[in-house]
Amino acid sequence: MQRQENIYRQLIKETRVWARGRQKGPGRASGLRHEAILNNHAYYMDNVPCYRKLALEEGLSKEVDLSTIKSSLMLEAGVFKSYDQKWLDNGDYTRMTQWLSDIYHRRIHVDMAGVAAIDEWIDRLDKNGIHVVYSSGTSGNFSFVPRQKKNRALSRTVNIAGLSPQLASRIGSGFAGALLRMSAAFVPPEGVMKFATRKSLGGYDGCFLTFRGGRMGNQSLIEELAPMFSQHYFLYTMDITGSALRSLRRGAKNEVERQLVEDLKREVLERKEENYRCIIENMQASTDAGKKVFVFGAPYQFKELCEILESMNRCLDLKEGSLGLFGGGWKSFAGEAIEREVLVENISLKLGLSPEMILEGYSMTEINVLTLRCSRGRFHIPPSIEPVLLDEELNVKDGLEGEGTFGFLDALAVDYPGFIITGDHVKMVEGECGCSLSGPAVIQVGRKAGVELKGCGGIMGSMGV
Amino acid sequence: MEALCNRHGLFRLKEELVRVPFVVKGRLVLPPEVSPESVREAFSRAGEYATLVKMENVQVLREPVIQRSSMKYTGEYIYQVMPAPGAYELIEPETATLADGLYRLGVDDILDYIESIVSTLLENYSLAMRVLELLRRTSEFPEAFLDDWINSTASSLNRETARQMIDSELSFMGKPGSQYLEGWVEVPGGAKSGWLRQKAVEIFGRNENMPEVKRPYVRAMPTRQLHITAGNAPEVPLVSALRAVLTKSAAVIKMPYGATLSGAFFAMAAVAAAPDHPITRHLSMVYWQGGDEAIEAELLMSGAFDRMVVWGGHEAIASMQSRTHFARAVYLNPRYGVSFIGNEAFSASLEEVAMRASLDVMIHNQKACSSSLVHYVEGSAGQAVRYAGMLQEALYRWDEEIPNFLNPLKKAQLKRMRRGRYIGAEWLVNTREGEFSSGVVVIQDEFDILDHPMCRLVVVKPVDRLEGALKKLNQFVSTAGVYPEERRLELRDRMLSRGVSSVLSLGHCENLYSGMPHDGMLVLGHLVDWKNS
Repeated sequence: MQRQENIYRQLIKETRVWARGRQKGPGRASGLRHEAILNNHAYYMDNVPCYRKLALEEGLSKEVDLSTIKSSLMLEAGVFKSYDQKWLDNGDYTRMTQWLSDIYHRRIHVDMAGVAAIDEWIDRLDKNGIHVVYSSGTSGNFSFVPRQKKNRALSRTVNIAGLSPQLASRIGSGFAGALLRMSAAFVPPEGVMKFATRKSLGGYDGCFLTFRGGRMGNQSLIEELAPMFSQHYFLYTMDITGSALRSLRRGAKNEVERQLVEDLKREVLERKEENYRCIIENMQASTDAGKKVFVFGAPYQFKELCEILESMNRCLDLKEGSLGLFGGGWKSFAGEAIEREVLVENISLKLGLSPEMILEGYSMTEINVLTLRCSRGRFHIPPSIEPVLLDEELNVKDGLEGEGTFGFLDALAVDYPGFIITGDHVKMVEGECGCSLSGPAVIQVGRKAGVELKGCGGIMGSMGV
Repeated sequence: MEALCNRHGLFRLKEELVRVPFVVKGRLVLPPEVSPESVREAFSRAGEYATLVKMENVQVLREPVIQRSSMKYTGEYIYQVMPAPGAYELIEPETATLADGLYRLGVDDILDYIESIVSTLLENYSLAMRVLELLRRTSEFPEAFLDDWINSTASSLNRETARQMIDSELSFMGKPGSQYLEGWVEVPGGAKSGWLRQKAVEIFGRNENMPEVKRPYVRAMPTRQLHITAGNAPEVPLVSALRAVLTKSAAVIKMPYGATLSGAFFAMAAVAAAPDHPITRHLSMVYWQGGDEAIEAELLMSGAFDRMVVWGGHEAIASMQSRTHFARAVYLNPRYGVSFIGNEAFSASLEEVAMRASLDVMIHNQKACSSSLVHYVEGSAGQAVRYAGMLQEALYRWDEEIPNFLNPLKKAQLKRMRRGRYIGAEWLVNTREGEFSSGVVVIQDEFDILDHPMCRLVVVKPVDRLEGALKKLNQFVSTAGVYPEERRLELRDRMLSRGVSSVLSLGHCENLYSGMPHDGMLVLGHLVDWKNS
C-alpha cells in the first residue's frame, strides 16, 4: 500500500504537469498509471468478491498484464445495480449491505436495525465511513457506488490538479483565480485542498439548478462545492430523496411514498416557473451586489432557464468572470434535445456570459474524475485514467481513435472495482490539441442504444418535465 | 422472371454489389447503376457502423457476410443497391379509382392471384434458390431455418389456406368472411325500427312517404394500408403483404433491414405473375430507413392511409405511436414467450421436459414473439439449477445440429449481463470454438426482460408456486408453454386474463394454423372497414 500511495502522489503531480500543457507524449504518467492499475487488480483479487468471481471464471490469477485486464476483467457498469430489487422493495437493508460488500473492498459490518429507506441506509453507511452515491436510470434501478471516505480526498485532489489550470485561465482575478493559479503553478494540490474550504470562492455566488441536497450523482458533488461560495441557492429548495425517485419510476407502494412523489412533482412540475423566477431574482441580486455567479445544471435546465427568461422578456447581465457549467442529460429529452452550439448561444445571450465562460463537464458516478470540454471541443482524459475504446462486440479496439463504447481503468478506484465498461458510445481522438493539452480525448458522447438514460436528466426527462 | 432478372442484373452478386428492385404500384423500379468504388467510398465516409448510405436516386444497404461453416463474420460485405422512391409515388390519393377497380374484385380473383404468384415462384425455382443463396450469405438465421422458411412459405401459401384466413378472420354473425369481402351481405334478423320513426307516425300519421324499416347490409370494405414491418423473422414482410392481398387492399409494405431480398423477390413475383392485376397495380414493396422524415412525414400525414400496421421493437412502436395520433393502426408490439414448469417435472423425466421446453426456445431461433425467453420453474433453487442443466444439454444438441449465430450486439449484451447486473447469477453456457452458442442462466433476483439478448439464452427463475409467477405475466407476454397439461388447464384462464394471448402445452408453441388469432386479434378484421348500408 505504501508503494501505491507513493504512485498516487506522483500521478497527481503528473496530472498537474499535464493540465498545464507541459506534457507532450505519454511521459511518466502512463507507467505510473499502469503500475497502479496492476496493483489494483491484485488488490481487487484479494478484497473485492465480485471482481474475484469474474477473474476466477476467466481462469485468471493476480499475475496478469494490462491487456488481459482490458480484454477479460472489465466489469460492466450494471454491476453497481446487481442487487435484487426486492430487497429495496421490502426494506431489507441488511441484504443490501451484504450485496454492497460484494462490490466493495471491505466487508461491511454495520447494524441496519431501524433503517427503512434508501436515504437512511446511505446515512447509516456514511456514519460508518462509507460514502455511497447513487445514480438513477429511467427504469428506477439505482446504481450504488461505495467509496471509503478517506479515498474521496484522493479523488478531490486529482480533480483539483487536473481542473485548476484549466479554470484558472478563465476565472482570472480575485481570490478564486489566485487559488487556482497557485494550484496550477506552485502549491501541491494537497495544499490547495486546505484552502478550498468554506468561502474559498468568496467572490462567487453559487447558483445550482438542482435540488438543495441528496445523494444522487452530482448532487453529492454540489453539497461539497456549495459551502465554498459566498452564498449559494438552489432551483429546488427541497432535498431529492432516493425513495422519492425510486417511487416515481417504479410506482409508490404506500402512502408515504405516494406523498414523496406528490411533493417531488409539485416542486418540479407545478412550481417550475415559480422556482425559475426565484432563482433568476437571486442571480440578479448577486449581480447587483457585485458578485460573480457560478451557474451549474444539466443542459435541459439551462434550456428551461433561458426559455423562462425569454418569456419574461429579460436578459441577465452576470458580472464579468461569472461561469456556467453544464453536464450530462443531453439525450434525455427525446425531441427536445438542442444542439450544443444553440444552447451555448442562448445561455450567452440570456445570462450575459461569454461563450468561453460556459463550460461543459463529462463524468459519471463510477469514475473519479471530472473532465471539462476544452476550447477545441475535446474532453481531455487526465493521466489517472486509462481509457479503453470497445467495438460493437465489446472487444478492445486497437488505439483510441474512432467510435466505440467507452470504457476505462481508473487508477484511483481503490474501494470498488474501477475497470468499467460504460453505456456511453463515444468518438475519441488522440494527440496534441490546440488548447495545449495532449493525450486521448472524447469529442462526442451518446448513449448506447438500449442502454437506459441515467442521471438527473434521465429522471427529470422521464417525468415529462 | 429469371430472364428479366438476368436482363437487368438483379439478385446477382457482382463485385460485392446486388441490385435489388422495388415494386411501386405494380411498376418494377430498378436501381440506377452505381460503381462498387463509389459505394465503398460512400460507406467509408459514413463510418464503420453505417448500414445505409444514400446516393443520388439510390440507397445502398450494407450487410456483413457470414461464413456458414464457422457462423462468423468473414470481414466482407454485401451491398444491396436499391432505388429511392419518393413518398408521393406511394400514396393512393384516388379512392374512387380503388372503389371502381380493386375493391370490386371477388374472393376467387384474390385466390387466383395467390395461386398465380405461387406458380410463378415454383416456375422460377432456380431463381428462388439464387435469392436464397444470397440470403444465406448475410442472414443471421441459421441455414436450417432459412431452408424451412422457403418450404413452409411455399406449402402454406395456397388457395385453401388463403380462403380459411378470409373466412375465419372476417367472419361475422355466423357467416364466413369471404361473403363480406365479396360484397354486401344481408344482416340476419334485420334491424329494428327506431324510436323516432314510431314518434313520427304519432306526429305525422302513417303514410306512404314514411321511411320503412329496410333490411341492413354489411360489407368488409378494403382499405389503403401502410405496413411497417420488422426483421425478426424473414417472413414478416410476406405475412403483412399477404394480409393486404387477402383484404384486396392498396398497400405499401416497408421491408425491414435483413429481409429486403425476400420481400423484393416476392414483389417481383407478383409483377411477373400478374402485372396488370388490380392488386399488383396497387401494391408497393419498398425500403427506407425507419425514421427517415423525408419519406415518413408524408406517409404518416393524416389521410394518406386508412390503416397502418406496425411491427417492431419498443422504440419503433413508440415512435410511430407518437407520430400517428389519429390513424387507425394495428400495433404488433414486441412480445415474448415464457414457459411454466410445474414441480411435477421433477417426478417425471426431467430430460424429456427440458427437451420439450427447448422446442419453444428454438422458435425462429428465439427471435419470434412466441419464442420462450424466461422459464419459471416451480421448486427450490437447487431444482431450478438441475432443470437448467438439463435444458443446457438440450440446447447443446440443437447447437450441434443447427449452429447458432450471434451478431456483435448480442455478444456485447451477453458480456454486459455476465459482467454487470447479473454477475451474481448462475451461468450454464454452451460454447463453440470458445464462444457462446447457447446457455441457461438461473437468476433468483429481478430480471429486466429488456436485457434479454434473444440468442438461445434461457433465463430460469425458481418460484415457490407457479401461481406466484402469474404476476409476472402481462400484455407483453404473447405465449406461455406449460407443463404438465393438468396445470395448464388449471392456470390457463388466469394466465390469459393477465394479457397473455396463447397458453399452450409445453413444446407446442410454434404450431400455427390459417386464420389463427394474432396478438389477441383477428388481424384481417382490423384491416378492413366494416361498412353499413
